Amino acid sequence: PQQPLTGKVEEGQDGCSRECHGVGQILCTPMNVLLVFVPLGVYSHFAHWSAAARFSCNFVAIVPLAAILGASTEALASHTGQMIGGLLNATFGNAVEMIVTVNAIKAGLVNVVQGSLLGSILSNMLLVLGMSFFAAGVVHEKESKFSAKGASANMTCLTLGSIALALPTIYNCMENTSTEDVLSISRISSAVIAGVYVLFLIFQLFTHAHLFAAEGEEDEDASISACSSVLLLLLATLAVAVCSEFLVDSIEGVTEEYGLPGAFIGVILLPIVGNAAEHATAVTVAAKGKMDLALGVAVGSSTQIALLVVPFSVIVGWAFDVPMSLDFRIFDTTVMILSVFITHTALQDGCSNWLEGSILIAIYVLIAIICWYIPD
Amino acid sequence: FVKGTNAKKPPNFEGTGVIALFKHPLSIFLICVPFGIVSYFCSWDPAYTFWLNFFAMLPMAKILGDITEELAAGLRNDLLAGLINATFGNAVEMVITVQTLRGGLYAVVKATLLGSVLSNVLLVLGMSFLFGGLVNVDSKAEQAKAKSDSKDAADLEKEASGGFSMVAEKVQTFKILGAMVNTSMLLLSCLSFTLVTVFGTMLEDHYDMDRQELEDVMLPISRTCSIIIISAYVAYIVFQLFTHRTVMAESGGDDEEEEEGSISVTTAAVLLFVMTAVVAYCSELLVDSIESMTSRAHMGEHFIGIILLPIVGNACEHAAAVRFAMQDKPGLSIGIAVGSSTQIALFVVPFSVLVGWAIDKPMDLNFGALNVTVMTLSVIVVLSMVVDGQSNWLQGYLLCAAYAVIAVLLQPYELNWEILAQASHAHSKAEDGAQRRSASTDL
Repeated sequence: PQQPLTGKVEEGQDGCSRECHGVGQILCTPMNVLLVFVPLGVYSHFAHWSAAARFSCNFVAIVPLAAILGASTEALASHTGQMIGGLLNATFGNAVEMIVTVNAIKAGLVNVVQGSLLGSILSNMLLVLGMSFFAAGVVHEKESKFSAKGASANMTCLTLGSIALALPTIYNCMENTSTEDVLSISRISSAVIAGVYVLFLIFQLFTHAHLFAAEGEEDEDASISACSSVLLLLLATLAVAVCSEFLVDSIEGVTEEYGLPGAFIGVILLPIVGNAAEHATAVTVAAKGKMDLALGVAVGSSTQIALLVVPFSVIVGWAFDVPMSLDFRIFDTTVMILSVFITHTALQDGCSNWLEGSILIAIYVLIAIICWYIPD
Repeated sequence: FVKGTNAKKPPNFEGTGVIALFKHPLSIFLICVPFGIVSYFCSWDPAYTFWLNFFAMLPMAKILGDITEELAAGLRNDLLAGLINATFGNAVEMVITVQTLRGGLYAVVKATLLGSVLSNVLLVLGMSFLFGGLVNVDSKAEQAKAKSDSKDAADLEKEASGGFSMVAEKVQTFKILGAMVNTSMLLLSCLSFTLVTVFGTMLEDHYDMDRQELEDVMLPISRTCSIIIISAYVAYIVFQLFTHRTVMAESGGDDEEEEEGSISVTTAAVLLFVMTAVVAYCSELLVDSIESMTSRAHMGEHFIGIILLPIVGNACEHAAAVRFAMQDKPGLSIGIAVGSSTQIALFVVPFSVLVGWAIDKPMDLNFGALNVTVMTLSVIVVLSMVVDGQSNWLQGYLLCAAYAVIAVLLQPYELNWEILAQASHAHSKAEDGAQRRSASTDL
């Protein structure tokens, strides 16, 4: 049963109090008591508490923030359509990742950046999408329908992204190639891919916007205006960014204590934590049957990373003269291509069920197992 | 139940009862069973032992499959029947696999399993598309009927079209969901084999691990992955038998009569037990003779593994799939062909790794770069064929052609394969290392 998250608004109120009422509906929930942990998490970071304490404070803080994020995304989506709402959510989510990437590239940590970019794409495309399919299939209905054409446009872009990773990697495997050549190939290709992302945005927002609108538009009264929902989304994203940054910081301390392998942390653990908010949003909206919104968050986010953040990081590397190239290792490239392909297959028919969800999750687990054994 | 699907099995033509199980032209080869056993003890030429046991397996595979179906039907419990069908459906492959594993021929195990998947997915499916698209039983009957009903109109039509256009433009349609779920499961297994193989190659190339170190890493990975793949298979069975039963069911038999178990459950169980024991024994002899066959350079292990052994396990499925396709039931033939390979890839392969774990043999999921490439590309080709829910003879021909190309490709590969086969024996490690060292000193 679907409940409008923002609640019923009585007739006859003037605009301002109606707005306040809507925002109050989102903010005043029992779960938001946990918001206490947001300042606590920030404080714990600067007070240098133990790693485990920092981890748990920031982790608990993300839970209510994710709920607010989901609610404001939903409110926004009722103004703009589900796919566009998902796109906006993904953009806010990835803005944070771009900042983190720039910092890591400045520090010259090319391998870390590559690992976390791949991990973000994988966790969005396999884990978040798989969980959403699973949740929708178990909670909502047997077969969830979504716009296959919109999903297919996203997946074609992701295929482009994986080919862009594969070609320089294969080129580097040939004999008599130099690192400089790989770098210049990567930089030119990055410009091309970023251009395609702009085209994709034009396609999604202007020329073919109808493909990305949900078929059965629900007459759900938006209780808050687009402006305040964007504002709320922005604030929540910012808070999540801060908390997840501290969470990521604390993870290193936690893992050092328990001796986890480096590749596993970079490719699996950090992206799961970093994407916690998107994860929660996608699963909650999928459980309500809004598959297009969930897809916009999950697949849209990985498209954005592959077509925007990856070339962006290469170009930033160019600017700082850091050898960041598109030559991910051959294993990473294989993982990427196969995952894109299997996700494409799952999305092709425009409907999902819990088995597809569990297949995607199983693949993610398989990749995680192998990452556990990658030697440092 | 038909193997690999949850569709009801169409009634047997030959009648019912225990005797009916053995009434089949193929059963003539049962004569080979005693001869095959005798040949081993009288130490005839290994080639005779191999071929006699090979032909003995053909009818036994069919009978074992029939008994499983009878047992499933006799139980009158959909849950149990489905489970039995799903696990014992590939009993012959599983028995051969275990015996080959015990013999330590990992390369042959991998080649057999891969060959089974390939021959099901490409050859069996291709043949059924091809014949289903060419032979036209129903529309001929319709034409004849139309002719008798309104003779003039039919004559006119016949003059206009020459009577052949109906056949030439025949397109068979089937349910997409069933085919797509099966193919997605196959893709999952392809992905896991590819990942493990690429990972192994990466370790060898970039980290310069020797074989013992490699084994220490690859075995736990393979075993954990196998458990996850089997869990995915369990999810697939739950999906097929419980949550999406109606969606997945093919409109197979036109006459949906409740099938009675024609023999009692006890008889079926006893027969199943006896036949499994005989098959196990014959396959052991078969495996024993493989080594002496290959050492005399009649044919490579690879050829035996990828071409001959899968034929043993698949002969009757092959026939059944083509027959259903010609009766215009493409959904059933896809269920048999793709469903059977799903069972092998998602159940028998991880099962063999786990059995290797139990009997302490280093069986892993590293299939070699060429093999996983061949398998992944084949599954992609099949996926592109079934995605539109229609089939015609051209698609069938293309699938058969793909199989032929693979066979041609694998011919010169035999040499490399032998090296790979040696590689899976841990004891050859030292020799290999010594060779490499001497080679580098020569340089």
